[in-house]
Amino acid sequence: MGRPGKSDKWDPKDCSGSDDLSLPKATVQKMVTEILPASSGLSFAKEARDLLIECCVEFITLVSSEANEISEKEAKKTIACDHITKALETLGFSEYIPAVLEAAAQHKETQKVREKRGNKLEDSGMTMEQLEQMQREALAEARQKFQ
Amino acid sequence: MSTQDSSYAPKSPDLSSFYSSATSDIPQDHNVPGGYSFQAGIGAGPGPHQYSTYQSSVPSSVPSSVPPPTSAPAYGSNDSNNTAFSTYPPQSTTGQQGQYFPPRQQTQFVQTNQSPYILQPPPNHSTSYYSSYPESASPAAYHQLQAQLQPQPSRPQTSQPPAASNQFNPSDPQNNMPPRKIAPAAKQNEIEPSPVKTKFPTARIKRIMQADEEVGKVAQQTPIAVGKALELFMVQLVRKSAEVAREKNSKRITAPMLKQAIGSANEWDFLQDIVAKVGEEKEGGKSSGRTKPESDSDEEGETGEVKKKGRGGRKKKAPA
Repeated sequence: MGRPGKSDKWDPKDCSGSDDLSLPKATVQKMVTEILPASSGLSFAKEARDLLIECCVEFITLVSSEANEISEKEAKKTIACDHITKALETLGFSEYIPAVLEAAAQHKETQKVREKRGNKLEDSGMTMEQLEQMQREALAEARQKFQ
Repeated sequence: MSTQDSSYAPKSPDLSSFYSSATSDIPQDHNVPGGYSFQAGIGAGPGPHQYSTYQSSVPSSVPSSVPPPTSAPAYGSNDSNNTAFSTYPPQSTTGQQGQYFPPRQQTQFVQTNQSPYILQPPPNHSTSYYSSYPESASPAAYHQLQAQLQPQPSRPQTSQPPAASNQFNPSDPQNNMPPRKIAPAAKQNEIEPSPVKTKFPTARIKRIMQADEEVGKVAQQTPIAVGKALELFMVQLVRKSAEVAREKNSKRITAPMLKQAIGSANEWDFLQDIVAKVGEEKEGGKSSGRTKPESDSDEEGETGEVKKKGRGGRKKKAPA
């Protein structure tokens, strides 16, 4: 997970100050245009977008602090998905929960696939015996070369 | 089904007696088979061909001749609905004997009433029908005959159309759901496909979360969950402000409109202190005559302060 630079505009204003604690403007703008159907002919003013970004940041802060409180109550050191859904519930956003759970589950699935992809052992398609045999041969070969 | 057949057996003699008494010139041997096959058609059930004719002819006749409303629904539910028909036979075995007799008698009754209309001219016609068609086809021919007869008496009491509209009524409240707070409730049942394909950068969300010093470790899934929630939140907020803009006949969604949208929902109270600052400035500069947002800002002051006290820690850290 690197810095999500793609949609980030390299704006000198953004660089100074609390850019890191805000959301990328271009991304938010793109999402807004996705939400507003082109048929509506509505456009989002710049200052409205900036305000929207502030609101979004506030939302993240609110949810995470609420989730933090919940996790502390449960004597957990890490804020888990579960805490987020509980926080959403207490904050009156319980209608988001199914979609949130789904997104988290989806991410888990992709993560699993990624892990599997990175696993050479499983990708090789050979049994452990075969692999051990290969190792023995390779060692024998190396020994011969050495001698 | 077997109960039906047994119930018909005693009925059919009545039929013949009716006809013979009402119109003596009609050949009995032709009409009785007609009555029989008609009932057999119902008993045999799901022939789609029989249905369509049956629907058009019989249910319309029932309300006209039957004043008591209890028998009419029973009849309609048994025969008039295509969908209901397949589900009904199991139930009908229990209640049919009671429910079925009245309609049967009525149809016969109607027929005798109308015999002066058609039974004299068409018999020749119908005999040719029966002679040329196999027995299975005879019910259809019978219904066609009935369809010719019965539209006239059925008109005055059209009880069928209202019944149909009753089926649509339940869906109406679901369709009209302009109030915003109902819409999210509907989302609970099924996850609405998001209109947004762009995702918030997870790393950034995590950083914003951890800007709060109290927030320690965060699980890998957590920023994704927060990102999704944020997405839904943003969709609602943008849509609501678009609604506000539409109300004002504006093509451009401005900060004050966003502010007004935020004022419309209790869950969004936590945004009031943010909107209080920005909204008022912009408003003062751009438009003068808006009273509603200003009245909102009074409340904001209070709620904002309360919220700040409640979640004191994180407010200070954010701008650093």
